[in-house]
Amino acid sequence: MGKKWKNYGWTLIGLVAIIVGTYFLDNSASEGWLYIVPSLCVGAGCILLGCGVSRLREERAEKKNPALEKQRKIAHNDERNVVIVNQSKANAFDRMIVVFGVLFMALALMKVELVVIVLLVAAYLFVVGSEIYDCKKLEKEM
Amino acid sequence: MKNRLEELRKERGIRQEELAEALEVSRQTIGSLENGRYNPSIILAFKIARYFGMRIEDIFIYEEE
Repeated sequence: MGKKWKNYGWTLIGLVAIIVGTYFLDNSASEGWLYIVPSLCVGAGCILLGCGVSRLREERAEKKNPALEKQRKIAHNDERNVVIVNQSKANAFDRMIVVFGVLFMALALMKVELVVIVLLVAAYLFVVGSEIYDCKKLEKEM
Repeated sequence: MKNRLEELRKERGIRQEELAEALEVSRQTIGSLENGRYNPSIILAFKIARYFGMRIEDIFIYEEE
């Protein structure tokens, strides 16, 4: 499937999700998770529709001006830009590790429910674990 | 790492934009290379050397600190 049709597809799925979600929000007297699902549909639909429409508009602009598409590709693949983005991500990750550590301490001191803290710590450890996994994997590959 | 990129480019009367297009990088990358703020990957260094018909060591000057 071409890139253009993929974007049309995602846009359409987004639109359908918004319509279906809105319909069930208006016509359903249900509570709890049955109320949450239509809301999630509307939220996800908005994201898909927004991204799809912006990609389609971008494609149309690039089609009218091929130089623009070439410029975008160069900027996307430019090795200096890639280095800058990767370095920024690495710095943000290092900061996140410290910030989240402090946040967990604060939450524990505030006597927040244990389930919440355990879930957050599990997510934190998953991220740290995936970093270690990637390190080991890249050590073998390089 | 120092390099002779700006000197070579000006000698040949090429604009930064033209060099950037030939090497498929952004103009900012060429500027950063010329100022010595960014060191290129080995692939880009080869592309630059090939573009000017020279060896890498004739363009990029490695200095031990």
